Amino acid sequence: MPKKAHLLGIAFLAIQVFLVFRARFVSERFFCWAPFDEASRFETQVRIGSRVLSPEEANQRYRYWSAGWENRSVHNVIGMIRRYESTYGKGDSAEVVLTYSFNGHPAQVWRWPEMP
Amino acid sequence: MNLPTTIGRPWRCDGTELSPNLLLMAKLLVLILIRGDVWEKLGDPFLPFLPAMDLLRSPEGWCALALRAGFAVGALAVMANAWPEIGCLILGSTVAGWQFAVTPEFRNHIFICGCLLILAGCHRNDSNPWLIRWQFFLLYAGAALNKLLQPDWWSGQMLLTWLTQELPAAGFRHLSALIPASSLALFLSWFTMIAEVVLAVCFWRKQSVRTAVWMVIALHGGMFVFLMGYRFGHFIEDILVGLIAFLEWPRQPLELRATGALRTLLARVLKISHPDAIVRLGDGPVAGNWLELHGLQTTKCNESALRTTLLLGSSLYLLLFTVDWLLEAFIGGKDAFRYLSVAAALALLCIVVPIRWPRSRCNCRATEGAATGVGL
Repeated sequence: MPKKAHLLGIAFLAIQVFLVFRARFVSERFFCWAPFDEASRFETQVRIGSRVLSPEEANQRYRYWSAGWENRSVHNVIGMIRRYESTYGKGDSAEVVLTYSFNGHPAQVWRWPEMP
Repeated sequence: MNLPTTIGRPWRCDGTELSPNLLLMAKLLVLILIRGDVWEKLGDPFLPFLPAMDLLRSPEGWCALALRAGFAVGALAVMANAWPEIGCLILGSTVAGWQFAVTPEFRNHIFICGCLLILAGCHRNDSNPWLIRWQFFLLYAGAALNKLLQPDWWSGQMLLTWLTQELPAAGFRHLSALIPASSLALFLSWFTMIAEVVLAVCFWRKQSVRTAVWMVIALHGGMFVFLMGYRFGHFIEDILVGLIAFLEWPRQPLELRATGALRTLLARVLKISHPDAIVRLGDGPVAGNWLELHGLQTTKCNESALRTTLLLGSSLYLLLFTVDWLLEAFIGGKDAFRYLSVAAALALLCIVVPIRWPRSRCNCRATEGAATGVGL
């Protein structure tokens, strides 16, 4: 019969199992053991009013690099920007253009605010 | 709750309610986290995975302070053998909780450290690390599932992009002079997916953990050499350290027999890193051998005895970690560091893998080579 501490470990593993299955239904790849599953090159441009943020300012805004390679899903980056702009940065009314190419495919563009 | 007998002696891995292999694993994970500057990165929630964690944000940074306190207390408890099972839970929860709270800082190589620490803490007075085995199963099953559902892994497109554009790998470049790059990427893609599926199955079955351990060493060691020292953050170190959990420690004390200067040296090494309950010095060996290890199913002699003795103590692992850390501090970022790391990994494999070298002779009465239950 498992001890109490074992039950804690089993619960922790069960959460991870849930997150692995959850990843099948969302585009982001957090906490689902998907390291180095995609090679995406991306570049972010952030505009607030008439001013375009420098790469350093964009890095500080999202606490993430604004251009380079992403080895998890590029949707991790999109998700972080989306959450920032819809919460902490909502008042800035920023416009974001993220250009990315994953696994060597032709470039795609994601924009914030998202069109309905 | 009993007072650990080795409290205050960080190089010892016995005398606590954690089994020696789990405590050794936990100590090395603590060192990896410290080396990775995790303590400095701990901060208030920022774009948390669970939005409710935003409630913990405060202008004064209380959450960051609490996380740092948790890290310090947990790391100290593990390193100083002061109720390390509780230290593992505190430190593991701190690291995993921080990963959930700050998604821009999420890294698989940090999260796995938190997971292994939490699960180690759940194995109080329990030498069978079945929770760690399940963690490894989940890791490889999750990785395989993610790859198998992506067409770019079926076609090799992902690895082709990664190995030629993002990380121009010398090994890949040399091989692609012989085989077309796309075919090579296709082969590596399928090799990786199949290996991860097989590893997941092997970790699922209790009987095949030994096979899984050797496969992990071969797979990640091979990747390390092929990619000329690329470590995926510190993921390779995390995984190899995690395997220590499956190293079976002997239930009866072993007796090591040596003479002369070697005996004096071994006496010092054993005093520091090997508990008396695991390995102790006995009378000199039989003629013709320079070292013997008694107490296992079979007597081990010379290189084999030395290998098993080193694997059953903390000194080898701590020494390797310290040397790697120092090398990184002085020549990290230079090609020389990567070449030295690869050379050291290959040399280490030659020491750890139980090969009977051609010049190795054993004059023991008992025979060698049978399974000993020591794991490695």
